[in-house]
Amino acid sequence: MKIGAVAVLWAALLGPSTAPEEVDFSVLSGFDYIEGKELPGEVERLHETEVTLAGFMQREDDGSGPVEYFMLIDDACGCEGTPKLNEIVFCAMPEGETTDILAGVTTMTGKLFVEEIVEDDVVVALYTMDVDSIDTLDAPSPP
Amino acid sequence: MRRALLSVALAAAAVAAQEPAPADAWTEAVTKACAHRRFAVRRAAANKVGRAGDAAVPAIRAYIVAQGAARVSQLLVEAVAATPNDGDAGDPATTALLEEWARERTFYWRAQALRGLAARRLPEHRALFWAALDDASYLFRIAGARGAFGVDAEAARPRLHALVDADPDPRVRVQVAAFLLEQDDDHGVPVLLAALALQAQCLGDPWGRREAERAFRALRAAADGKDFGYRPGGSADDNRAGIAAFTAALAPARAAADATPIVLAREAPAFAGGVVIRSCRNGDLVVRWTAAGAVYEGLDPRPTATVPPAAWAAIAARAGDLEGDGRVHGRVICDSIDVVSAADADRPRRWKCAPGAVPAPLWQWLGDLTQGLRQISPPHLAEELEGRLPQFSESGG
Repeated sequence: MKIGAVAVLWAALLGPSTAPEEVDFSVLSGFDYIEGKELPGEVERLHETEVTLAGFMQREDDGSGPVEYFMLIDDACGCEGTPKLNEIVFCAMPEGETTDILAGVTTMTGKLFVEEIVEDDVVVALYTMDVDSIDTLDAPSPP
Repeated sequence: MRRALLSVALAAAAVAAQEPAPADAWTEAVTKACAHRRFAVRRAAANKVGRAGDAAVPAIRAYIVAQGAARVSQLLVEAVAATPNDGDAGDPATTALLEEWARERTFYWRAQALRGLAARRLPEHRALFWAALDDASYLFRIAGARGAFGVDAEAARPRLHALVDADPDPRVRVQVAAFLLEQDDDHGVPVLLAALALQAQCLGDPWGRREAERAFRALRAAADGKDFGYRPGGSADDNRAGIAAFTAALAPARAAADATPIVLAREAPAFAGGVVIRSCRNGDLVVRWTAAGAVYEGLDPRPTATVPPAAWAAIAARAGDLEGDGRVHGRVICDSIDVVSAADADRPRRWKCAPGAVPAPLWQWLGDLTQGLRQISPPHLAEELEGRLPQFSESGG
């Protein structure tokens, strides 16, 4: 699979030091999430880590234009079931930046935060991410 | 700072999901579950409506009258479906609503509704479940399998075994096998073991990995929580020992486990492009092709035929003139079309479009493609495309 930086790139915002850690949804969603329960160590340790993560962009609302916030999920369709909280990364673009919702697999680079955001007894997010760059997989995959 | 803003947005979502005033309790919650702009609000509100059971059904029906069934969210249907009342009274109003949804072929989330009926295991839905086993939608077949087994396990068992053995969609084979294993029926263990090694993709979508993870979870549960070192998402090489250990632990329970190799996704050449039409209502259509115009059908790519070289060369040339922007066109609720067209290996183009949102140049090219597919035999792929494409044109067909 060839990866090309054809979409949006904010290279200037990338940290200058260590390479981001490659993470996938098998880790993030590979456990039965129960609100308030301790998370697996391999997930907890990713808190505030620079990562790359591939998935499918999905908008939150009814609109059709560029967005500042979006969800990254592991399923092209989502028809098999609405993703659970540990199957969604809530992504935020750099301040003042927006992005189109891109087709196909996209790879996010940025800082991942792993912690329950609880408001009024409702967990509204488990994973959030400050996105620095978005790459698209721009070639069809082998079979 | 950005994260702080995201948190504020999410927090606002939670506040909005708080209990509404009693008089409008379910009307407001249903509206939020379907139409709020924040996912977290929709999710929280849908769960609340689902927990309410029959009490919230009049509000759901009123919402459908006012907004149309197409505006009912997947979250709401799943929440309503997931919370059966197991008491003596049951939940007749909810059950009736789910049945209407499941029987309505144009309803986006009819498979989710059928799964809700399956959870209720009512004999009066037996015919509906059995009919679902032959549905075009793979999700509907899976939900039907759950229902048919729940109503009369012994009657359904041979039919479900047949799905595990020979359904054309590998996702059905894996998911019905996993369901059966939950019911202490190990017929599908060989299929699940084969699925552990799945790495197949379709136009970049790693569907094989997802099915491998499903198989892993089912097998791990059957093995009393042992994972044998298998790591979801790992490569086939990394997991070779884990798969062997699962096989040694679970396959002996099946006399025929190693009789015939199970193939869930056969080998195929590198694809140059493809069209995937996903439909919760009508099932998925997967067509992929090589640079030479050899056409394959399905996630488990079945070779069909090769488009005559001259015709294929013309199609490929016109693909080279298309400008793909990589964006999602329109608002995808459920049905969508994915197109990858590579005139050459270095310049692939990708589109994902909702109904009514295929750009005109791409629409014309899809017409060319359909004509090309007409030149191969059997012509069913061209006919399928012709039947399904109109909903995606900008003029709506």
